[in-house]
Amino acid sequence: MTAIKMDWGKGTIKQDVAEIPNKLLEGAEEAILQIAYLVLGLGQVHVRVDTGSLRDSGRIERGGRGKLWREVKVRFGGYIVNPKTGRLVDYAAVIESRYPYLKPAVQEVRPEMDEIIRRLCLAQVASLASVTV
Amino acid sequence: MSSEDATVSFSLEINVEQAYTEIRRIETLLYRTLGLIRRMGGGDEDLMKVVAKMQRVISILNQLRLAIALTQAAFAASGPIGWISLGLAGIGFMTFAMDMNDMIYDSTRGA
Repeated sequence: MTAIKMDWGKGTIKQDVAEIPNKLLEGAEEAILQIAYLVLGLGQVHVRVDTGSLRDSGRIERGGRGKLWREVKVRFGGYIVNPKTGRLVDYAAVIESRYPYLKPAVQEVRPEMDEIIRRLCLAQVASLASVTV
Repeated sequence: MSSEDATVSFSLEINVEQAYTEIRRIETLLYRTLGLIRRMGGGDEDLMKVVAKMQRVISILNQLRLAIALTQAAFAASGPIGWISLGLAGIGFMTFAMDMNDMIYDSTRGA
């Protein structure tokens, strides 16, 4: 169990309370990025390799830069030209359906996800002057 | 099938909109509490007033805990993890909810 303690005597409690959603967003963004890198790395380990193009096409895309939400994607396919076919990698989904590489990567990281999010969100909230975690 | 269609991806999304709403409520309570403290004035150490003030602070911090819990729930509610992959309907959909049983204490130093 984690204790969050707010110090009324610091005099910054009003600002700190207002800042909490931003801190949660920062922490959560950092967390999903960290999760995405783990998934990407494991996906690249699991994927079947011939030319290495599919593996090398693995990447992280960031989006959702709105005020209140963020999005991070781990994507395989496109982006890299396969030297054998001369085309961009267009078989990522086919390989995934036959020899899953992304799904196992997610399943491996899944048990860690909650803890990563929890830890990084709390770390951000704890950075506020009147808050101790 | 375009090359874009042929990609496979794993998507994570977060949204703190509900936390913002809750924080606005907390701020309202906070301002009311500060108003109450001002009205109480300095030097008056009447026990019942101090207890009342502490109760307000505890109430605020309980709401804060709720806001944090709602943020956690938002991870699940906003569909934080979804698969977008052509022809891979069987891959499935996952959600995660943070399991954070936080306790919030107040520290009423000074005031």
